[in-house]
Amino acid sequence: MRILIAEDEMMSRKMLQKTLERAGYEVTVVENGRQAADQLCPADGPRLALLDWVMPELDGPGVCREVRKRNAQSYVYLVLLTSKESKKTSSQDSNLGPMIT
Amino acid sequence: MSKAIMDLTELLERVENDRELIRDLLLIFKEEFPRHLQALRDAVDSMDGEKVAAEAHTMKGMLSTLSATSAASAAARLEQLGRNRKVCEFQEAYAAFENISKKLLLQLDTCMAEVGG
Repeated sequence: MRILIAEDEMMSRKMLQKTLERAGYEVTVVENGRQAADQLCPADGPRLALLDWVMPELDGPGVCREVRKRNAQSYVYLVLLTSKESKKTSSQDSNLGPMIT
Repeated sequence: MSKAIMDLTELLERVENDRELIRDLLLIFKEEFPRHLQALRDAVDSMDGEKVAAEAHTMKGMLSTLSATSAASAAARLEQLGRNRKVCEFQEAYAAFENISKKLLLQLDTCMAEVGG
């Protein structure tokens, strides 16, 4: 199974990539949200992605909005990762699609 | 001897004893961390809360990845101060963070040797 990792910080990216590869996944890595959206929007793109919340170009919630808007063919599961300590989220944003926090 | 800032035992456990991965992480950290520390210093000196929060957030992630919990907490404090624009506390919090970061940097070579680098 293919998984996309979008993370701008190199150490977290490396850690996630190695952990998932060890578990047998085929991993694609990108460094910002714009690259993530470009990978996920085509119908043959990865169907699962781990997205950093804070990223350059386009943040994690921004990637969710683009994917929900542009990819109508097949559902893409998006997991947002954050070390933010605030409990405020964008879970009320209907453009992000159904959300579990 | 001073207390270790980085918990290598915990990190080894977390990466299922993948020593090659730890070597890679340590090399990235040694290369990247001083640059971020300088950027944080500059942001603190210019009292730029947004940049303080952004740099401290990145460094908190790097330190958490290395299981350097106390250093990550010091970065988290700076991130919070930056977000809340508490500029009068920037210098004191930065000094504490720099102090713990220097101790960590001294520990890195020992950790590298322990994982066979």
